[in-house]
Amino acid sequence: MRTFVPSVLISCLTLVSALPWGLPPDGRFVLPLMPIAAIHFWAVRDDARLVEWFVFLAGLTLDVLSNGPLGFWSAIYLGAYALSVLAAGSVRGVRLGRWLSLVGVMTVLALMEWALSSLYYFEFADLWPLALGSIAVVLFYPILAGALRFLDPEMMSSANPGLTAGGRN
Amino acid sequence: MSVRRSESHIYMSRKARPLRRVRFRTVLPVLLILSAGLLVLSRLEHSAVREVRWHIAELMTPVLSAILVPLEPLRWVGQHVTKLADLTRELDDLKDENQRLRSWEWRAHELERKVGELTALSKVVRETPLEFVTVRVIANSSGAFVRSAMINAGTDQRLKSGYPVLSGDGLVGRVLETGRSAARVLFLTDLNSRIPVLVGRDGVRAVLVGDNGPSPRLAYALSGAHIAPGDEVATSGIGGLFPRGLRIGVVVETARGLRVRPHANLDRVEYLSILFYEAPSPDLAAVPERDGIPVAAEAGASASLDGGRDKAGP
Repeated sequence: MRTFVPSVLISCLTLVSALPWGLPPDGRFVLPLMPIAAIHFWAVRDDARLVEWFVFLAGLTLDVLSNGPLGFWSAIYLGAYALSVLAAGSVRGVRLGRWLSLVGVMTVLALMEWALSSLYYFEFADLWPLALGSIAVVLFYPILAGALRFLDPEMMSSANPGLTAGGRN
Repeated sequence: MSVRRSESHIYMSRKARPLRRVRFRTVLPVLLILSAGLLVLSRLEHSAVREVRWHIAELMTPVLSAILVPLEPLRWVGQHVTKLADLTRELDDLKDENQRLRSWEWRAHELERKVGELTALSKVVRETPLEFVTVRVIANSSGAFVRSAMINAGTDQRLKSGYPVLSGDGLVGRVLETGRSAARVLFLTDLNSRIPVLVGRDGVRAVLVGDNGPSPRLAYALSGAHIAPGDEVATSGIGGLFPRGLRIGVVVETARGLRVRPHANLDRVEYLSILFYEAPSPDLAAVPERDGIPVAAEAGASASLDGGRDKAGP
């Protein structure tokens, strides 16, 4: 049951990112990165609430809906999950630390996306839209994190201020 | 430090922690390897992958259609905010264009009259108007790989692979795959898109080649052919995949040379029209022959010389 809310919210974000929003070409990369922000949100707070195969399925769903190569977004989402869990140990409970860890995770993922897409087509992909998407997610993260916290009853009801409000060290 | 300790206490028992660690070290690498395997299979374009993908996409169609309904106001706001930003520039462009078009209007009437006279004189076979169906875009491609969209109509609506797809502004692409209730449209900007076109007033033949960027390039034009910015690009009808004369875009000068800017805004298409256009060549193959010569060859030849499927568009 504890994994239910994160799973539902990540599913929603994944489906929403496949919808036709009429974004300009450079903005195409922003929406598929939003589920990454959500994955990071729970992974750095409590990775037990995320299930690895669910993260994999979310990425695979986006691959199917966007008609991209199968395995691309699932690899990126799993990468985001792994990096966030690894970063969690040092930033848990520190609001700025969590945000900085997202900056690091998004940087690594942008490079990973660029490398994977370049490798897939055997030609250098354009890094700019990927970087732009990552920057947008980093900037948008505080709002998204607030919304996710608001929608997660477990976080709202938690007595621990470190979890609900970013910690007071 | 106290916060970190209390979190562990809340969320993870001492027994659960090693279990998580084991899962992290075993399940995660397995899933990553599985993703890599799927990527390789996709690159090899394995038929099983394509079929499974299409079955899943079709299952998701009602879900996406349902999600679109409550999100409609949000999408409307988003699209109008983006539109407003472009509107001032567009207004100036339209004023200029309007002035130029007034002089062209007179010229067009003259030409129309002449064409009417010549058509009557040469007894050209009349083109039958094509049927079309208007559909809605329910999902869009995202990322570096493809430029395509999923629409909410399929074989149940008599759609077939290869049918041309248009928006109100011009050609958008063609139907790539069809399921029963959904289909995928390959945009003309996609890396796999190749469309035979005519460029400019001289009707220079070329092939419009997508490269996943916003402006596809022109390839295989004759050497020495005059192509300049501002030239209109339309389908040539060669190859039979598209009817002749569908508007595509205009030649523009970019940092990467001459490119074609599509008239249709492929990032904001919401409703699309699918033309029920069958390639004419299979019909010709079935034409009865007399002394080794197709009896309808003359009619076919005059139809191709006519070059006038301009009326085909919705």
